[in-house]
Amino acid sequence: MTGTAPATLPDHDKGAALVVRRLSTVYGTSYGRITAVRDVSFQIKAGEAVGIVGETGSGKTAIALALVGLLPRNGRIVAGEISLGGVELVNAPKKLLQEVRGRRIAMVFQDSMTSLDPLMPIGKQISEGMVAHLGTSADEARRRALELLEDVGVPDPATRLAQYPHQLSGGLRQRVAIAVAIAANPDVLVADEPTTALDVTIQAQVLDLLERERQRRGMALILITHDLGVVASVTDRVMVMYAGRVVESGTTEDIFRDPRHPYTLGLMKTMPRLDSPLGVRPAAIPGFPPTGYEEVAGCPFSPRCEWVRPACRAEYPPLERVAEAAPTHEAACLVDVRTEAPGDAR
Amino acid sequence: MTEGPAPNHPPDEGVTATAADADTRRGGAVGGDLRRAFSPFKPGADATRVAVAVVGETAPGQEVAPGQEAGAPAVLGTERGYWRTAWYEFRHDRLGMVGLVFVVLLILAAILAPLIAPYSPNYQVPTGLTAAGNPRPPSSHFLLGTDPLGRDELSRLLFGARISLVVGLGSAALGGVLGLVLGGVAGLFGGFADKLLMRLADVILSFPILLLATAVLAVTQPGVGSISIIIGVGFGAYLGRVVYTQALTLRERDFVLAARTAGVSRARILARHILPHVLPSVIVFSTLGVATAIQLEAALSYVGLGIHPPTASWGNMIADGQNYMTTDVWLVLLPGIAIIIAMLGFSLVGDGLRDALDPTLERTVQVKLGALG
Repeated sequence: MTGTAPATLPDHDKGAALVVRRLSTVYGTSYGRITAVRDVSFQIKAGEAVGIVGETGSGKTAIALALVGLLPRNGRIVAGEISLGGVELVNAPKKLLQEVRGRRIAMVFQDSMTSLDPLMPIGKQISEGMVAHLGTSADEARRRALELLEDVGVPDPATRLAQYPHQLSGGLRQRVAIAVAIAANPDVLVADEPTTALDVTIQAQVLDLLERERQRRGMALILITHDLGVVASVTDRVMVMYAGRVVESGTTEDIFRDPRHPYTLGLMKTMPRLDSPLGVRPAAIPGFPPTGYEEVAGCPFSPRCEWVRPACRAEYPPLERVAEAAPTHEAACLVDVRTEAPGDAR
Repeated sequence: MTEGPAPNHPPDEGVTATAADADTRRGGAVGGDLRRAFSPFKPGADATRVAVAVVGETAPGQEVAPGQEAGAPAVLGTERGYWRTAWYEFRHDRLGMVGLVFVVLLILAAILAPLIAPYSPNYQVPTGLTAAGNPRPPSSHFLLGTDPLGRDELSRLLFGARISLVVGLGSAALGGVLGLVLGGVAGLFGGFADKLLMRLADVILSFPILLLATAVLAVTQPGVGSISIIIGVGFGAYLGRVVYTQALTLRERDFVLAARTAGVSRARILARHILPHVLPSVIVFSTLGVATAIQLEAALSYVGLGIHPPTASWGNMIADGQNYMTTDVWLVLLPGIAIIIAMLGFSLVGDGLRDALDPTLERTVQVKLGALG
């Protein structure tokens, strides 16, 4: 499947992992500096599917853009390391980053209407990455684009190849965007809210597709979403983010069965459930997340937390293992939400 | 409708041809209804145009593709293509085609002037004036009459077309390239280049172009070259601003980011994802710019700052003739009409291109038809 790897990239095996250590990013705005990602660390094994869950502004997309080295002009990585298959990406030369993108790590965006070029036939957009990375000939690239369209379940691919994005439905467009992303066979696929702009029925299809291609290609999938339902169906592990920090992480099973952070608990309660009694509305978390401009002392969730106590405001609690039985389940909270009662502070 | 709407299907198949004809008739009916239903939606979209869009879109080309289903192996990548689609759209834009005819005639007149002009443009024909010394009216000897110096008006008009065209096309081309490059550099790279180039454009644009040209031509040697350069620079500043704003938004568009995440190089993104979005407006504005440049050249020559006599230019021909306006009105009327035809031609072509180069317009027609079921 692979062509000759570009000379600047060392050979590697697909088993190599994505390692992020103590990553922090900031955005400079006219109102001041926003710290979008604070001290985030995680590892992803080859072929693993990991969900990053959080609300708007929690730093999910900033992580994704930092991974591909494409933070906007006003954003930058201020600390931390990103190591992808042994290649260090922070402060890597532009040329190297360009080799890495598409080939080692690729990205699917939320809105395929805007992430596909409206003036280029989709076949050309799919083959672009291949031509850039593998030096594929035009004919070969076209043939492979056709295969890819088939792979991602676009009907009548030969006709579609020549069409423009506006001639496709939203679901088909997102399939095409996925084909563009996986064209050069990346090791890691970052999908940033890939189903948010789609109908619910189409959402399920696109998730199935991501899952199928992940398994078939053995690539790791980072699924960024605000929808717990989406991660529940696809991912092996989940990281819950709040105000730029990871507040809880663990296997999907752990997080859903045994949430330990008050924010995770709150998120669960906001999900509408089929089995809840009639008339019971999903519970909203009171208050608003911090804007990121001001430095919050202690736990950023403490102003909204039912379990808050004085110690929470003094210091940010480290991510710690919550149970002997679950070696990967970690939460950043001083309180044991299972045994302690919520409440007196509010 | 004979050769038009079937880019992909084999011409020798009687069956498909009949089908296409039937579709044409049906499409024609639909188009008529559509026009009544959506008459304010697009003034240029007459029945023919819409019908053609229907047939071109569904019957022969893409969705149904009878040619392909009839056993021909699917030819990959034989999309109708951006430019082919644009030409297809343009061909069915009546006003645009009228403009194109004007432009082509003008170009032919300019190129063939030495061959078809009855006299040399500066030759004072001995019989060119009446006994009283007045210009001769149109006759079989002088098809469009003579000017106050006894020169053949038709010949001078034909040679004047050369001046107008060279200045018009030259300054529009210069302005187009200047605007594209400078606006693109300022918009995409920002920083110092942005500030320098855009302030420079502000300075140029703060003068009316006629005033600027007057000032420069007063101290330089007027000629086709210098006039073209002045108009071209002014036009370039204007177009540069247009390109600049487009580049500013384009560089933030998601598909540019998406292409970068796929590892596409910056140079390629520039050429394949940014340029195609800017080029249509550069082409349209440049075409319209030709019309403006022709008018400016005529104005400058009329006031004596442009092309100097005896060289024929439509502007100085009007100046030559204006003293005879009451008795020999063709002396100002004919060059005036020539200017109007030239400007109209390029303006209509520009407007037609504006529609044809915008792929979303074709889509609009399609969507409306789809909604009608």
